[in-house]
Amino acid sequence: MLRKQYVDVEERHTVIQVGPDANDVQVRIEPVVMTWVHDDESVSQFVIEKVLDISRIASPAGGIGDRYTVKILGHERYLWRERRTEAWFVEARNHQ
Amino acid sequence: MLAANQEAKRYGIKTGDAVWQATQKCRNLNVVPPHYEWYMDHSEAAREICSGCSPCVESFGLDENWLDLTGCVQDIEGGRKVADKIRARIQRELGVTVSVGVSFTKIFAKLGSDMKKPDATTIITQNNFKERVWPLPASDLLYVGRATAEKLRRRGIMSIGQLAQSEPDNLVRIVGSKWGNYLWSFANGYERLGISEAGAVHPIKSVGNSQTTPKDLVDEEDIKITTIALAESVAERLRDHNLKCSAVQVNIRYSDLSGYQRQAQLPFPSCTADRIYSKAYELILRHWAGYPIRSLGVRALNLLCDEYPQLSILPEQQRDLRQLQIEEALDRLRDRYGHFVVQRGVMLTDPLLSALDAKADHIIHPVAFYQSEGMNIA
Repeated sequence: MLRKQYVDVEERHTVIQVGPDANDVQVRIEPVVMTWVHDDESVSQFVIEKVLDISRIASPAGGIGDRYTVKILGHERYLWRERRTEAWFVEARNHQ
Repeated sequence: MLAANQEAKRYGIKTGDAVWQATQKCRNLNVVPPHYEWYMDHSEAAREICSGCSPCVESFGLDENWLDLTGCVQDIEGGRKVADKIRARIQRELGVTVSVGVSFTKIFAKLGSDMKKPDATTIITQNNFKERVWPLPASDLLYVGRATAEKLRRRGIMSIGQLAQSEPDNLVRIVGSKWGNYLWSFANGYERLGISEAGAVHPIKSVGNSQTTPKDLVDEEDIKITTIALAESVAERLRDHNLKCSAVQVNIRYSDLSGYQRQAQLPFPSCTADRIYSKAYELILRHWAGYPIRSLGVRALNLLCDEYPQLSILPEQQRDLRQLQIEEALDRLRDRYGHFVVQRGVMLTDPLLSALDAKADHIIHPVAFYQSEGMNIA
C-alpha cells in the first residue's frame, strides 16, 4: 500500500504573463527545497535540482493535485502538491 | 453505509445498510470513514473537466453532470469520442473511474450512464433505443421511484417499453396529468429538456436547512435547541446574500420517517434568527403530534432583496432592526473566532443537540452520529 508522506517544501512563485493584457497572469509554483522529517524527528533536506514536468495527475495514494516530476540528487522523483490543502507530499511505502 | 463500491454491491450491500448488516453480508468487509471534503473536491474537479468539453453543463446532484454537445460534435460517434476523453482525463487526473451515457435525450443519457459500470461509455441512439432501453424495468427510468414503479406494476406496466406503448391518458390516470405525460415522453425519447448553461447563477428562491438530529427530539426543549440552531444558520445565510424573507416553512419528520411541512407568513420581512426562530417554533408546536422527531427543517421563503430597507416607525420593526444589529455583531464574531464562540444560554442545556453548527455542516454530516455514540458512553 502506498501512503502519503507529507513534506515541507520551500516554494518559488513566479508570475508569468500569459496574454496581451498585463493582468493576464498565472502564478507558476515550483519546489525549491524539500524537508523530510523522519519518525525519529531527524531531518533530511533535499535540493530540487530541476523541475522536469508539471501535470495534473492523481496520485495512487489519493488526492487531487499537480504532480511535479523533479530531479533530486540526480534521480527523477514525483512530488505532489494537493490542490485543496496546498500541502506537498511524496508517495511512501506503508510499513505495517 | 453511505456508499458501496462495485465489489461490495456484489455481496448485496446497499447504501443505507447499518454497519452490522453489511458485515453480516460480507465478513471481511473493509469500512472506511467518509471524507466529505474529498468528495466535494473530486466532484468540482470533474465538473471542471466537463466544462472544458461543452459550454452547457448541468450538475445533477454532486457527482453527475449533463453536457449538451449540440454544435460541439457532428454525430453520436463524436459524442462517444468526447465521452471517452472525459473518462480518460478523470481517470488520469482524479484517479477514479466514471461511466458515461451518450444519447439524444437527457433521460436516456442518464440511463445509459447507469447501464454499464464501472468505467464505460454506453451509446443509446434513435435507432437502437427500442432494443436497448425498452426491455429494462420501468424503475430504471429517471423519476420513476419506488412508489411510481409500484403503481405502474399494479397496472401491469413493468418495462420501459410497456410504459412507452401505454396510452398517455392511461398513464395520466395512474400517476397524474403532469407525470403521466412526462413519463410517456421520457420512455419514447420525445423529451427535449434543455441543459442549463455552465456558470449561470440561479436566483435564490428559498434558503433552508434541515438536520437529522443525533438523537430523536422528544420534548419542547429539544425542539427549541434544534430550531434555534437551524434558524440561526438560515438567518446568517440570508444576511450573507442580503436577503429578507416574508414567510417561514418547517419540515418535520418523525422517527417512523413519516413527515409533513407547514408554512406561515411573517408580519413583516425579516432576516433575524429571532423572528425566524419564533415563527418556526410556533408552527412546529402547533402541528407537532407529540411523537419523537427524527429530523427538523427550517426554510425561509418569499425572499426579497434587502439592499435598500424600508425604514419603519412601528416599534416591532424597530425592535427587529436592533435585533439585526446584535446578530450582525454575532456574525462578525463567529466569522473571526468560530461558530461556538457565542451561544444562546439554552444551547448549554444539551451539549449533544447544540453541537450542530448547522451553517458549516448544512449538507451531510454523518460524523455527528459517531460523536453521539461516543458521548453517550461518556
